[in-house]
Amino acid sequence: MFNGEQRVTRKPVKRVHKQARDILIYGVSIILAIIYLVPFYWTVLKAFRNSIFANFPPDMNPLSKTSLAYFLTNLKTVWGFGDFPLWYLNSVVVSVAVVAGSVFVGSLAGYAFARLKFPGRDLLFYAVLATLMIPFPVISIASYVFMLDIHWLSTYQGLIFPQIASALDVFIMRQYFMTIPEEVEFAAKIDGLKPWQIFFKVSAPMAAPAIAAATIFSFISSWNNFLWPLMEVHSLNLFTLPLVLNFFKGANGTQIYWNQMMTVNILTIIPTVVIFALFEKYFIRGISIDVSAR
Amino acid sequence: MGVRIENLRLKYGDKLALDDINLEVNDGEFLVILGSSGSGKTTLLRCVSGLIEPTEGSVYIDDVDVTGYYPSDRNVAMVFQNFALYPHMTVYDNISLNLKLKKLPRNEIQKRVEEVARTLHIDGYLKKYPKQLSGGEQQRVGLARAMVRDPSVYLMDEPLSNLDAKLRHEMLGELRNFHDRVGKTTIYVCHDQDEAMALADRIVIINGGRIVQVGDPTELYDHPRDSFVASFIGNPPMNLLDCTVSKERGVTGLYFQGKKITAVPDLPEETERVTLGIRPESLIPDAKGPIEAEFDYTILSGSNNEINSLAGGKPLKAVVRRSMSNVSEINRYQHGDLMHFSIGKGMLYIFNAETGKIIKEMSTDEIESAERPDNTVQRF
Repeated sequence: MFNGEQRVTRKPVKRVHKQARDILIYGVSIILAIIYLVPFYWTVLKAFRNSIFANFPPDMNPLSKTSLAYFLTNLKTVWGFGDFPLWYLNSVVVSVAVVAGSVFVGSLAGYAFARLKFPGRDLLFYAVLATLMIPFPVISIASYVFMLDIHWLSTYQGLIFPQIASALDVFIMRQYFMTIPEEVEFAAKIDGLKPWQIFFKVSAPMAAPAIAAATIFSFISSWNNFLWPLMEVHSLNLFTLPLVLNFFKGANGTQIYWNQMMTVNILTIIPTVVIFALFEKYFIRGISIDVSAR
Repeated sequence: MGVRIENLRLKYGDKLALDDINLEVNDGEFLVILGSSGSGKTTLLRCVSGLIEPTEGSVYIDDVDVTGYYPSDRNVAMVFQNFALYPHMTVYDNISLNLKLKKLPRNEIQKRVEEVARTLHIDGYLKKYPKQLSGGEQQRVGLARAMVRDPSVYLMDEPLSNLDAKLRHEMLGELRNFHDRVGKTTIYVCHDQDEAMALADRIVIINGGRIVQVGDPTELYDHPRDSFVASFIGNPPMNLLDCTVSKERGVTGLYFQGKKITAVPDLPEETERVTLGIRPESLIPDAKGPIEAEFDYTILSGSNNEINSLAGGKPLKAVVRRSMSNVSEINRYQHGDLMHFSIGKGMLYIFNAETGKIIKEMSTDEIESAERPDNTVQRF
């Protein structure tokens, strides 16, 4: 009896620290998750309503039968609004083009900064990094004037090109390439790959996690970009989703169609979630500094 | 045939990474380039492979001047310390990449890859990815990748350094067998003299970007050209004692910390200070011995005791067969205790104290005759 008691009292003492730590970690994680999820919940809640007016008392379950019916109606309204499918397609086309261009340029530039030796390399790299600190609005007017001068205003290329070449992508790619041992490229040289083949067949595939991270970052920034399309686009045919959202504010902001606006929001979030789900596994490896690499 | 390096020099800015390298590697020879880290040994290998272009000089492979050739056009194969396999390709693709780029027929490629894989016992792993294999298996894949192309020269850059001790020992034997089987010129870089001794037909010792000495393993061990080679080859390394030279009653003697430790035949150079090299095997613990040292610690290795002590602030090592030595006496020593050594049988090396170049090497037998002044020898 005495021995048994002793055992019972001694074991938990050791575990208390671990338990306390677990509770702390999970507690903080849960609180953070709630903080992040509440706006999503609110979005869904609003999208599953039938009018601009809030019900009182509010129905907090968005998945009830009536709510679902309201959502379908909202979806129909939104999808039929103006050229909504075209605008959606615009967003997809622009973002995919920006991602492709940005990852291509970013990986080549990152590779050059990581591997090639040329005069002024480090200075140039820090100059590229420094552009991260310049907010887009600062250069927006200059970009606008530039587009005006080359007659690219209100064109797809005008929408796409200024968003390509992100310093963040260059940085991510460079950091990752630096963790790849040079010997692998030496081996490829001896096996007979020419330098550009080494990049595409060996170095870039090895940098897949960084490419995933760059893809996600550039996709999100382009997909959510509001200011540049707002300045660039003067024709309804070129509207992207963030601009479309503005319509549901109502005329002069007098009336805001929250239910429709939130429905558009949900439609807007879907591709981002899909992209993240696809690349999440690589993404984490791409942005975490790989201490185990060597 | 083989490899020839002529007047090779490599500059990084103002720094000379390699200087005045002249080297001939015979056809079918296993040559080991031995040096400590930063000595330029890997750089030299990369100059041969074409990964680095020398500032001056030429590299010949099979009597063709390949300086300026792209690495793959030199028909060399290379094995790397960190294996350097392509992680996103299967073992089969890793091995066959070069053959595919040479546009060999598919069935020919398959035949050669499978043959090489069988020889190296990795035929079960062809569909796997490098990270699914152990270190030893990965290095076999690296070896297979080199072997499958049937190159003129194998270049190996510390291929065993990333393996654990037991596996390294196994692979040493396999590498030597491999070389004997293919009979191809091999240049092998390492920093481990045991590895070099085990594998090499000849060893090149490189230090500070310059070749210090070239010779077969026993030659380097028996006849080091300078004190660097002497302290580099041999395990534990040769003891180097700073001695003064002085002549008394017609006999030249070497004095260490004021005590005469040995007589020597007349030196070809007039000098007051020399460095005396004594192999640890030639030192005997002897209470009446002239070399005074502070006991530090003992390491047991196999049938030997390695006694580590400090003489004049520098490490002094003696290797004593346990069966021969009075173990219980050595075991009584405490850290810091005073002990004495005398010189037993073996070779002694006298180096120039400034340049480190060898002045004279002699066996202890020769010294015994030097001990007696010339006239006494005449009289009897």
